[in-house]
Amino acid sequence: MAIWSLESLVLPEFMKPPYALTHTPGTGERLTVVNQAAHGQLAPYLNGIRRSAFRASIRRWGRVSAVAWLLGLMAWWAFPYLVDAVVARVPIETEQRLGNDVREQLGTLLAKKRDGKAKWCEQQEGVSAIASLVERLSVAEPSSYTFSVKVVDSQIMNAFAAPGGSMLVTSALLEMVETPEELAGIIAHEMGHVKEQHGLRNMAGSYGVQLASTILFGHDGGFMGGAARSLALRMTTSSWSRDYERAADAHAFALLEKSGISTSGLLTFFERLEEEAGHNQGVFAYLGMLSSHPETAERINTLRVLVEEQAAVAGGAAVAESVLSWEAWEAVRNICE
Amino acid sequence: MQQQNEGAWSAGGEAQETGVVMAEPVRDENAGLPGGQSGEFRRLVEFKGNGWQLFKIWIVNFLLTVLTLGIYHFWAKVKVRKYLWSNTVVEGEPLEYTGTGKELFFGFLIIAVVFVVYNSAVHFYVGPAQQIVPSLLLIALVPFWFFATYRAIRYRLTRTVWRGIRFNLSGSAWRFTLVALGQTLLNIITLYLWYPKSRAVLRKRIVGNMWYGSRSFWFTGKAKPLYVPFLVALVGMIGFGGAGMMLVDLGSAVGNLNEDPGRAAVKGLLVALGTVYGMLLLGSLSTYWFAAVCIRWEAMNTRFPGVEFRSTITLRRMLWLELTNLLLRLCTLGFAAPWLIVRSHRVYLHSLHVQGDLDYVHLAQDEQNAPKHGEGFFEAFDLDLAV
Repeated sequence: MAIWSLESLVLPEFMKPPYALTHTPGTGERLTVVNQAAHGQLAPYLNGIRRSAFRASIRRWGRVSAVAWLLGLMAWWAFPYLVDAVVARVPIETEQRLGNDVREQLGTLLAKKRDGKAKWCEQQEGVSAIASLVERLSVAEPSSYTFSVKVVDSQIMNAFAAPGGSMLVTSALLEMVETPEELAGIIAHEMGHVKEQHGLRNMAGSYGVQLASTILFGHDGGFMGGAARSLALRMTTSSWSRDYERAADAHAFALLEKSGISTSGLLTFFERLEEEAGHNQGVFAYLGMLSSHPETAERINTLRVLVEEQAAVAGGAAVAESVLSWEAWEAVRNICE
Repeated sequence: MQQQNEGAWSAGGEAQETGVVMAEPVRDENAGLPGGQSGEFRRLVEFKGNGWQLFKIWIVNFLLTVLTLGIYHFWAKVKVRKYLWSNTVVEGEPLEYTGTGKELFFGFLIIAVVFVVYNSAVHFYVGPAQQIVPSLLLIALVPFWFFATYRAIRYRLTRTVWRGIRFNLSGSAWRFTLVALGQTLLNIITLYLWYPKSRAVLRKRIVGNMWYGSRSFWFTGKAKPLYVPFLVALVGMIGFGGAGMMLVDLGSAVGNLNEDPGRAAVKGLLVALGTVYGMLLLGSLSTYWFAAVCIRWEAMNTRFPGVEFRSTITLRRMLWLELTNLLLRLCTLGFAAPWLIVRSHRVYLHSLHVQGDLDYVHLAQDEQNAPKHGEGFFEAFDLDLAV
């Protein structure tokens, strides 16, 4: 039998007998340590090799971690720019097609079902009244998007802007709205989301996070992969969504001002929302709204400051005429009949 | 051939490319080797792993994976496999896993590119036939899936070494893909009544191409003994599944929650979900007989020169194992996974029995090439064999 030098020994990862020792260069020979007694005799010679291999592996993975974190931080920093670059390349037709699909799906998800079908609210006068409101807001600021609002019959209160100008409002939200100005405020807010491509950005961003985590952890990542993935997703998207809401509020305020609509509608609506949520009745209905629209109180304060500034500039005469006639507003309120 | 210290060590023998004559293993009573008389079946494998050790490996793997932002994942996988392989002791000698994290990593990098392009195409394709193309792309995954399966089996076999000699899978992955596609088509046409036959065909193709050193396995299984248990499984699945669907209207339960969110609606939905999943569980239980028969059938019909295999797995043992595993998994929120893996390995591996003796003198390393890279395809398709 060949003689193996101690330095040439290659130890297996796990040394519970029986285990096989090999050596370099790999000739395929094995020395199997069959039982604990044999292991006990060999162990004093092998422990040194084992320790130095362990130290080398710690050093190596330490270096890899450092590089990984460096690259990770760079990726973290570059990620929003990357998302911007991707979003900028999406043609407007794709955006609109995507938006329509998303609205259709979300509407179906939220809707009350009549014979298994989602009920969309399409009462003629109501639709044209909302369309005129959208038209007035669109004209005030030129944009490459064509905006449209669809109403779905649902108990869940929500308003949603899909990419490409497709917007969705639920009947529960319409019931909550008390004046046309409030509705205009909500629509202007959603138009802000569309113009700043928040929906698309969100989709691209979460897709990117998922892709990156799949590449790193693999699909099967088990509990670590799954946990890390959802954590990363939550961290990125929720921090974005807060910024997005602020941006959309600011945009809505400017747009309302340009189209000569009272800006206080947005404010009064939020205030009522906060108040109702405070009463905590029907938790389910508000959960969806509040979770995606965080820090309502903070937003109300910001808006209040803006409205007061505007009023001060205009010398207290900023209140414009009503944006919808009484009949048109009634039609909007009965759009689901 | 050497024996020292009261037979405590055994020389595993040489396996050089030149095909040096192999040494016969040292049969040592102290080492707990099974007796080698031909003619009677004896246990083939001793699985020595334990859950606590595997759990410790998992914890370290988890920490390192987090520390390296996921890169360690591939090396973690290798570590778990090395543990499982080296604790699988066949006739007194452990298996060795010789795969490396680097191989898995590069294998995955290759597939990652394909994956990104493919995923983006499915999600963002715009152009003619916009509705159809993404689903066509999805169907295109099926042949890749077969291809990947074959390649992954080959990868794992070539990285498995016993007594210094490695396993291998010859044959072309493309040809396997073609055959598997043909069988799938037949299954669809015959509403899956062809399935046992297709299983025999594919098994024969895989096992027939399997090698240990310079000697090949072969497969003698015929579909006939599978038919009755398969039909029971099929009828059970369809019966229970259908009953579940008929008993509750999941759609309207979701609808109720939408229309009137509240305690009653939530309760209704939970009851509906419970019924559907309970029925599905019962349906899947009815497939275990088929599964047990399949394992026994595969073991019995897998042949290697000089030896015969048997599996003594029974329906009752399998049901007990899987049900308790499910319960443990649910109760511990998945944290018992290492213990579950060890339990399953013990049950399935210990049920493998062998008769006859290997012709140790004429075993030699083969000349076939091993694949360079790892299981990229597998990662991408979320597919994993037992480990």
